[in-house]
Amino acid sequence: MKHISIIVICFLVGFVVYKKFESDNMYYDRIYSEERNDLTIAERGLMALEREHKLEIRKEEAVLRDYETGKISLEEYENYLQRKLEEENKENEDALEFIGNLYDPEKGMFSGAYKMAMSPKFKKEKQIKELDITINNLIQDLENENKEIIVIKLKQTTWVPVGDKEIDQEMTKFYEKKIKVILDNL
Amino acid sequence: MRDLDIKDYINHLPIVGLIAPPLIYLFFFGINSSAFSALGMSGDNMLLSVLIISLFIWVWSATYARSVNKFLKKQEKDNFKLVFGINSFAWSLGLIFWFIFDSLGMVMSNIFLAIGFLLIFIFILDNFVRVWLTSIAFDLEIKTSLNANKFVLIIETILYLPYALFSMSLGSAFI
Repeated sequence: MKHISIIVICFLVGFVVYKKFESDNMYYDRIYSEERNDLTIAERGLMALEREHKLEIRKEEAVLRDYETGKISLEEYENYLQRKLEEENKENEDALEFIGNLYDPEKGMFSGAYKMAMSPKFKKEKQIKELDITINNLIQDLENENKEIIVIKLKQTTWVPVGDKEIDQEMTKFYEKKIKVILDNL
Repeated sequence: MRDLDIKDYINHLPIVGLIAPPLIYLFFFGINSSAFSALGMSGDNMLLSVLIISLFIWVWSATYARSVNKFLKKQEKDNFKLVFGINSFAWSLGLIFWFIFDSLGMVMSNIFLAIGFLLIFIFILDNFVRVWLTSIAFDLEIKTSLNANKFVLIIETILYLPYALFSMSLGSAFI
């Protein structure tokens, strides 16, 4: 018996939600009947917000009616309005703070990717690739360009610090050695 | 006496596990009906979605239950319905927290970090409930209950942790 009543409750909840969907759909059909299927996602979002706003207004009207008919006192009505104002202000402040922090490099949603791109290890890998390409291109240019110019360009090719003392010392020495070997061979 | 009370509730877990997933989704769709209706979802589609999602959770829970029940059979304590109920209930609890803490992403500007924390929290909660309820329902030690749920825990770890860690690393948790 208990189980049957639980299942009946489940069906009832389903029925209520189904009816709510029907009512919302009927509301949208009534207002946007012809062009409803052609609306974009953003427009549909705005449509939902408008519906929520109208439902909120209906709720406010119900509270006002309660006050007018004497069901709630002036103090209760004022408290309701005050609470609502505070909630709205807080929502606006939170929304502004959220948007402000969204792209913050320290705590925004892409802060991980930003910090990764700015990390010395990532910069090291990137610079190694760039320097190796530069050196290889200079060696290939030996056939076309003046040797002295290539030597000057090679001497100018050095490791640019990435902000990590250990990496910078190691890589500076590595490229100094590498370029020295190439220059000796030239 | 206290243990007996908990066991009384545990006996209802098979039916709770059966109705929890559709009820949770009905509430979810009910609360957000104006948004879903605006997106073009009709009442019929909503019911169909609830049915499909519930079927998925039931089948998943039944698969987990089969694995745990195999272990319990060796100890002559098998009860498929109860294990199914425990697993479906644990899943449903995770879903509830998913919906409740969904707003966390709106509070924390770092959405990736919020998702990572949420996944880890749900992973811990789900599996704690699963292991704890198995231990109480079948009078097992926690160690034995962990052993019974070992395949479930492995699958859950594979399902949750890589996504959680990936999401957290995107959210700069390790830098």
